[in-house]
Amino acid sequence: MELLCIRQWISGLLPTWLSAWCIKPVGGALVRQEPEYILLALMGSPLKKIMLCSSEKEIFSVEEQVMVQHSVIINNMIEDGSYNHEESKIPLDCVDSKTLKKVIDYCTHHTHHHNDNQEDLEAWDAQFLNVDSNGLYDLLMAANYLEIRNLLDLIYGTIKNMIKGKKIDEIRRIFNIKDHGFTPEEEEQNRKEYPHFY
Amino acid sequence: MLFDMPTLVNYSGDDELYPGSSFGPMDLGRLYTIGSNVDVYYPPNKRARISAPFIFNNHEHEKDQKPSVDTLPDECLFEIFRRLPSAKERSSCACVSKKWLMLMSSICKAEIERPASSDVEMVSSDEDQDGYLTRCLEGKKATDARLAAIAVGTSGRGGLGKLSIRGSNSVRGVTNLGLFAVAHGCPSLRSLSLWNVSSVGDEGLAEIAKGCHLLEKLDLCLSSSISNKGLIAIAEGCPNLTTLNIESCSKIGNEGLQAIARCCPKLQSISIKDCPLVGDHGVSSLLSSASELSRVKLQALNITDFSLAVVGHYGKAITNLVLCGLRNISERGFWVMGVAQGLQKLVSLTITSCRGVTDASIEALGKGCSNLKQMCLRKCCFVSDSGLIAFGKAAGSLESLQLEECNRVTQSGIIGALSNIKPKLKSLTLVKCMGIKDIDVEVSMLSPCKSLRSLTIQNCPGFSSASLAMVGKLCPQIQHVDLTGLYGITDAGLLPLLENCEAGLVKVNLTGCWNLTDSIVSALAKLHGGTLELLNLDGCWKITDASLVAIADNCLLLNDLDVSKCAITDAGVSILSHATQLSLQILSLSGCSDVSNKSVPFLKKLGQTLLGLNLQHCSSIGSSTIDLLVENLWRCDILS
Repeated sequence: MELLCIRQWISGLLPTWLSAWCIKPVGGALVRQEPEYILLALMGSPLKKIMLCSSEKEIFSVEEQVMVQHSVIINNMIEDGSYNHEESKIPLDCVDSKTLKKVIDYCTHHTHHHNDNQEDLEAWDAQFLNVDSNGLYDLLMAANYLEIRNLLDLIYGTIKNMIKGKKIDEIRRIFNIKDHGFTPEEEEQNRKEYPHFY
Repeated sequence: MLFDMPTLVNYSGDDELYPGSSFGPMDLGRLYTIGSNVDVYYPPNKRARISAPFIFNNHEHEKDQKPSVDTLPDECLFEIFRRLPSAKERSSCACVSKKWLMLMSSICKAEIERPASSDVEMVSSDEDQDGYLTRCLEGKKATDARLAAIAVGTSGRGGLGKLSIRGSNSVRGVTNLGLFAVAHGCPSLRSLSLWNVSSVGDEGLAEIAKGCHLLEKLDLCLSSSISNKGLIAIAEGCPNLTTLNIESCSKIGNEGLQAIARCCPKLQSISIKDCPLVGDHGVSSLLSSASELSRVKLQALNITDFSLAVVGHYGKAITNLVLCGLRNISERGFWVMGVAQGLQKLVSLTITSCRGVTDASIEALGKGCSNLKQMCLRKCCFVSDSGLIAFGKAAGSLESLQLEECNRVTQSGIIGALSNIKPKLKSLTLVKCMGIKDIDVEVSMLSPCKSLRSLTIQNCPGFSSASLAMVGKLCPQIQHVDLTGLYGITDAGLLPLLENCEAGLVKVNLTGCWNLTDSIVSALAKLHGGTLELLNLDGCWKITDASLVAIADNCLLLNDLDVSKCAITDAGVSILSHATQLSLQILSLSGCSDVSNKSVPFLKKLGQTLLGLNLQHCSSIGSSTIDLLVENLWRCDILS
């Protein structure tokens, strides 16, 4: 086959999101990788996947590119070669299975749907974050650990909105702050100075 | 499968609990508790495969530490606070808990995220940070938490401009942490004053230097933990410093002052008191480099003649100079200061307790400071008549002369000086000068002193009626007379002054002149009723109601009357209240035991214009009367 035909065939084979692979940062510069090489690499395994292991020892298989795009930690691990595709799995001892599943969910959706319009994405995000406070906390810890910037921003924004406009007693209830740590005089001083906050 | 309980949290801002649509296929059962102070307790939603003992352990575990958003690490809380759009929100969060307060106060201005364009109206209120708010913390209330609250709270309402901390809570006082909060949150701070805050050290000042570059005024008193390092940091970080006061700081020395001299060209006012490590090096480098320095006060320092020589040479901009308690400076120092001819702009000079002030040095000062207008010598016991006369000859521009406890000065010295300074002298003050005794001076030999407006002679026991009579004849333009403590003065001594005074007396203070009687007060009222504004007869126990009659009849402008401890009765108060042309603002009847409850209606009438009323030690006026008066005269400040 002519190289050109191979290219066309390949580009027909590749799903659209994989065309992102054709441009890969190598050593700081953007280098175009020829599709045929990619196909050769792909032919090793259908879609390059990595294994993530939760704290409960449950293994999750996820496309490498999805996690690399979102998580700085995982990206660094793979780039500096400490991760061997054939054998190893990435242990994530501080993330439990349920949270890990959700995180993977988030990253996958955002990778596949990054071309969607803003409103749809925001709606999906809102639905995604419709969890209890514990779940939110777990997601935050996981995103923090994995350094998933946009998920972190999303969660921080959500928590910020939880606080915004609420009275102080409300905020204490939401965040389960039983002992505010002020002396009685300090608390009274605050109440006098800012009565509209209480 | 496990089930979850829904939580309190919902994002739309409602108060009520609802199970919500937050759970899709996962919830198999719903339990909710009712009430607003709910702590939702629910088992963890993991571990489907776990055997019984583990579940048991977990329940116990749950009671101890529920993973809540309160256990968020500080950096996460920090990120959340950073995103709060307005200062109002940040102030609100600062009141939630102590931990949140301290975190909030550590956020630098620069780290706060600029809000999106939809929050425009909140952005504009944050922009104007001119620093016009003032806060003062004293004693028990001076704690780090309070400082952090101030730092957070003022940032959205105009910015903190002036902060003073006096003392510190003994249990949880102000430390460097509190200053860190101020440094981060108040970039527009202009004036910082720390009195008796011994737990603040150099790190705190260094942070302020880093965060508050607009600092103009720094005032440190009894700050025993602050050393040269802190002052150097301030010098390097705050080039706009104009005023520096350091008092009783045992660790601040020459290096700190040298740094200020190097880095703060705009320094205008410096005051250093009682700092044992400060010596000639520091003071002289400061005085020689600060070209705009106009006010200098040096008290109780180990400096020598050299520093005064530097003052004399380099003090071209100095207008006010105060030198107190400089024990190591000799006559030569003051002499050089005058001879150097550098103090051409000096307007006010005050020297207290310096043994180096002698006749020779004071003459040199008079010659060297040609524009001197105010001179005050206190406790300079080596100055005698000849020095004073020489000074008087040299200081042609002098308008005010004050001598306190200069016991070698006698009458002739004063008269000699007066006759030389005459042209411009407006005010003469003599306090406790024991050397002043009566001498025989021919009045006709002396020419009148037409410029003198104010004469104050306090507690000079040798100053008798005869002297006063003579002074009265010599000074026709006097308007203010203060003869406090001259118990030897009689009516005959005061009368010539009253009669010769052409300008009209405005303020007359005769405290403690208990030999005076009603006749002189009547004379005063008749002669000067048209100009008299203040009359003080405190302690003149011979004064009776007759004086009040004279005052009521003659005084038009009187607004401050003090008849404490005089023999005033209710009748006198009545007369005073019926004087229609009088509108007294301040009246003192303290110690008048003959003024009783019967005066109440008169006092009420007087109270229409009164702003201050003193009824202390009035034994015949009961406390219920006083309460009644307080209620009725709400505009008046009543002392009892």
